[in-house]
Amino acid sequence: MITTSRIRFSDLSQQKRFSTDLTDELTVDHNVDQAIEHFLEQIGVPENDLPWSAYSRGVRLDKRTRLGDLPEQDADWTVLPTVTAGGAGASTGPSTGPSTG
Amino acid sequence: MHVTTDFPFELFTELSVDPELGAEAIHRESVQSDLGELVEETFVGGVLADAFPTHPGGVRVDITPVWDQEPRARALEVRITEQDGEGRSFTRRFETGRWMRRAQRKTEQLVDEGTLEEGVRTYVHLLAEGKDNPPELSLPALQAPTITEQSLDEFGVRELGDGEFCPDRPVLVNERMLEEILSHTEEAGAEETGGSTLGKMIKLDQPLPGTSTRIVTVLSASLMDARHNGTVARITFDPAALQEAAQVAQLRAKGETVLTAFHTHGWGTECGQCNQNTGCTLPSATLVSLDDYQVLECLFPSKATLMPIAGRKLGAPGTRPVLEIHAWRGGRMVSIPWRTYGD
Repeated sequence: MITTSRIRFSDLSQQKRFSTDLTDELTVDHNVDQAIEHFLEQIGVPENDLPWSAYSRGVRLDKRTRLGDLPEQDADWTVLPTVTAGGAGASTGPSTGPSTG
Repeated sequence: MHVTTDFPFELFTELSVDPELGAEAIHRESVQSDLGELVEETFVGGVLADAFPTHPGGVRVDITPVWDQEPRARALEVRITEQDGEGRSFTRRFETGRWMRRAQRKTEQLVDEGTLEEGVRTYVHLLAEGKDNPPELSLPALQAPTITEQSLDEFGVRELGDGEFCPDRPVLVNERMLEEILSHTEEAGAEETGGSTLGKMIKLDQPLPGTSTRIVTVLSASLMDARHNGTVARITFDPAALQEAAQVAQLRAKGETVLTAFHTHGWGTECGQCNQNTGCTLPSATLVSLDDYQVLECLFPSKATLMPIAGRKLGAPGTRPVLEIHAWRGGRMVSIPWRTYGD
């Protein structure tokens, strides 16, 4: 099997992108979970204690998988969290919350 | 892109129950790291306003406190100047930012703990303290949104419909998508619902009438999925469903992506006057909650992201829900006008 040597990350909207060779800060010995963490740090997105997933070719990657064990075709990742939106707490939003004094 | 900057201050916030500077703070924290998102918003705003090329060789970032009573700032002004080419610049003023949302969370936490009485008014002082050796600014890589040069006709826009444009951020909403979202909002009632929203940013030859930029954001289709779990006042987006929507976007072969996700803030099914009822407890579609901001920070982190929220809007005409589209403006999401289109 030919394994991947470079990973191209993006968020769901494909507006935030980052790519890296697996030779420097991220190596073949890191796993998917660590790679997600690295991507978020690079693009300045807080983890916020949310469950994060990475998808490649429409399939969710196992977080424990070693990057060196990923096939070459799994080089393009979409990284996204499970996150909740909604009107709860809207009344304490920026328009009505603490004001700049 | 090479970025140079010089900011001889360290930023803090102090949370206080006293509006006067110098009063005892109940919480103080460094918010220097929040500057990165202000710089990103200014850069993306400049690109979308057509004030910058999408890939300048280098930029200079100047961040200036707007003093209220030094060291308290009423705002921060961020100016980004192209270092090569025409030397164009774009400035945005920020009276709020991530520090304010964190202060709101902190206030909630202090109330929950019993440290603060419920209902007590708190004040956030943004302090820019001059330093000989200020902490180094850690700015994320500045990335322009993906923008395709194309005509609206090529994309499939046949005619422009109702509404009006925000001059520097024109947005077009597919008429059929709008109707689907409003119908889903009515059907879901007080429970929130939502789904993926496909779209594309297009650069035209000329700005549309009434606008000052050639870049138009088109929201073209929405995809509902039962895996998104809606309850009263909350909806949790399912990553697998969102990922499948991205594959649908690819199959449509129009260059769209899942640009954002729409959700509702509930709709009344009993009184029949949702837009007129001042006593209604459902949150308005005009409000962006702290949970909504978390979606923007984590799921759709680009400062080009729009957040469509459907629901009630006090004073809106008619008996149907409205769709509010929010865009980043000065550190927070602000509702902007938009027009429909037919395909």
